[in-house]
Amino acid sequence: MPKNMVDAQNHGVGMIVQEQGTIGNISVASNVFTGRLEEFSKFGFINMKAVTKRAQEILNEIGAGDINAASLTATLNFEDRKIVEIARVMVADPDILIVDETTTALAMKGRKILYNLIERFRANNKAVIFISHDLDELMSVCSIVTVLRDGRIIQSLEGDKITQNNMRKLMVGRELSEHYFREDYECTYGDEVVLDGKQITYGSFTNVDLQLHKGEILGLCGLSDCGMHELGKVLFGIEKPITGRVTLPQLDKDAEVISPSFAVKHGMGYLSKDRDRESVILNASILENIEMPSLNRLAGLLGYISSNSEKKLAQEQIDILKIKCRDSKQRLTELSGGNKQKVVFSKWLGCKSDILILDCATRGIDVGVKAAIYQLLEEMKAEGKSIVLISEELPEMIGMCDRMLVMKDGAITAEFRRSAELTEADIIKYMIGSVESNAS
Amino acid sequence: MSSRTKEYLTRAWKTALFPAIVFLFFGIATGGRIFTARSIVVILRQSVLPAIIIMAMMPNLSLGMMDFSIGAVVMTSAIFAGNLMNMTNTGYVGLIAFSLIIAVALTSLTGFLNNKLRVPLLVISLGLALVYEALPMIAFPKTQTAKINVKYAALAQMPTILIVLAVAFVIYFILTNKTVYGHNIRALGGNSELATRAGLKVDRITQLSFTISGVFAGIAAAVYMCSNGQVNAPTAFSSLVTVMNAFLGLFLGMFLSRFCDASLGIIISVITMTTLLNGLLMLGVSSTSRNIFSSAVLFVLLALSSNQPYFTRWVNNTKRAKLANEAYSKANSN
Repeated sequence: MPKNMVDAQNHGVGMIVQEQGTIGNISVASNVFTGRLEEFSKFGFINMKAVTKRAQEILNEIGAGDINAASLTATLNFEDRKIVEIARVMVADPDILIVDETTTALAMKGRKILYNLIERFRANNKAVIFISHDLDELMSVCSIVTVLRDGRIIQSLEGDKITQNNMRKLMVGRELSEHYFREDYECTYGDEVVLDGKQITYGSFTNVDLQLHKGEILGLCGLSDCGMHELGKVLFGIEKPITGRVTLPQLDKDAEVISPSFAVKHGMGYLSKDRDRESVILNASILENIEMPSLNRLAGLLGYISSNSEKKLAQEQIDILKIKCRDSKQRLTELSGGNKQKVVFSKWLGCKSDILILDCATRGIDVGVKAAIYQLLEEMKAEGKSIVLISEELPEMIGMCDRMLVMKDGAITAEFRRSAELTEADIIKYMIGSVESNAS
Repeated sequence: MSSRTKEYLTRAWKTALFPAIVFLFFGIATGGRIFTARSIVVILRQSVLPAIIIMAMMPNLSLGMMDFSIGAVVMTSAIFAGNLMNMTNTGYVGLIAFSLIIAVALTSLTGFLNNKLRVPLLVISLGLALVYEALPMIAFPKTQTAKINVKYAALAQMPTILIVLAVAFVIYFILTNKTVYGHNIRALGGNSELATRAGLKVDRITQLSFTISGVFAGIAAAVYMCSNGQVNAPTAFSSLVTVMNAFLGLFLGMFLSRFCDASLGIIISVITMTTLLNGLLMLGVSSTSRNIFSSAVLFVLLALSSNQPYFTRWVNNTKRAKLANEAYSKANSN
């Protein structure tokens, strides 16, 4: 058993972690060789030319020659920074490679590089431990799949036993109910517009119009950089649009969402794609996270908040969402990704939000929690709550949304209504293809 | 000349315009009185000590730690080194050697306690500042001071003092840019958790950082002793006041390091602050008003620096809004 991560590296175990793993204020080359710069030094003086040259060679070898080893790491996008991490791991030439949920942060280019590396490991008789919640990916990459649940190894599957159904069953501990997604295929929502975005321009998108109706699940989909994530932030008032505005017509036709505090005050909630940084406070307790948007409601005379009302609110939410924890005082750092996500939902449910902007609500969580979240969305819809669901996962969008807006190159290229005939291929061609827009 | 050297010199030249503009402003405001060789010499001479003190503070600052005991280290080292030089009659060599040894010992102790106690450096360094300030009174209870022969003032005179600064600059530049230590410290300052995971030995690098800080504090102590001739034991954080100019220069240096190399930024920032203070003095501004004015200038600079991205974004957004509105009107009219 390695004593620590460095010891593991020294004994041939490399790991690509789920979180951001590069240092922004140093060069790509320095990042690739962090902790190994002594290899390029004499009497403490470093030969940066040699470091940069060798780092560039490694980047070229793994198929990322377009990344300049001399550039400052902070100037790279998220995916390229992840690729730099892959290069860093390859420096040590490990015999065992651990890939922890890395592909969720990678687009096509990064995934291709990673899959090639895994293939190379396999060809050289080396081992890869691939940790993922993506069942399709597990099926295509792995030769043995071991399922863990509640901190215990449940079973290992091999060969044709590796099927989505088998994995789901083992992950959840029971047969998943028939309706993983919604069973109906009708657009069932009210006429009342609850959120109105007109001519919104921000970041990579320009002049986008959208309307969310009462009881509607509206999907925003596209490739990761199409602008949908930024649009979610604008809808919640986190980012101020360059043109246009977002209003809450049921409140007042001029009730413009100008800030997150305005949005929260008027019954909106937001779940960020980057949950750990933007949606929860990791070092705070479950109670503190859940009560955050509800503090005004909980406050009594002179702003006094009784600990009983705090505990009651937190416990209610823990029970409703079945959050696995010791008690409401447990810190979020100790919870699994799925339970952290449930805490985010609790936060907004606890303050009775009627409009939810959910950016990648099921990213990086297991199928059991996913199923619970889908069920929750259905219940919220039935209660008349309105949801903007932003996701790159098309089965989820087709399975849950009443309407879907497809974004590409900063514009809405297509609008689809819920239908049993709708397929992923129908949507993909508007996400990446060159077809004319069907959006009205 | 390589392209990197060319870029370095271009950036340095552009950044040097900063004190030049301040100098020009006071040249006009004082009716040209500042445009004398004597004034320039005074400004340069007064800039050396704060610049070296900043170099002593920067290694720890790069790791996200502010060492408030550095003023006490400089003054205490100066008093000890001055007295030891007199006792051993070793002249400059003794003064510099004793300054370095004592300063390195003190900052290494700060680093050791910082690593072992795991208490924020802010707390440790303020506590140790009081302890270090008390050391000369314990060691030299009768005099509580150090007085050296006036002939040693030469070290703090032109052009020797500029040579001292040049040596300090070269050491600092090489340490931060050309050594494994410099790269490790940047990595650690950027993300300590990641750097640790990558195998960097945090405690060792931090300890080394304090030791290096001591080297510059030692040089500063020797210069301080020579330029003052007599140094009295500081009390009740008066050592902090002594290094206040360095603090002001430090923040400006951090601002300027966006445009040029940090080591050069330090020197340019200190020259700018010294020019500013001297210019105000020539205008007859009182000491209190000078401090208020120089702090205000610093706040304005930092505010401008911090808000520059917002300003750039506002300009870009205005242009983009115009184009988007035109496109929207056109699409709706069709």
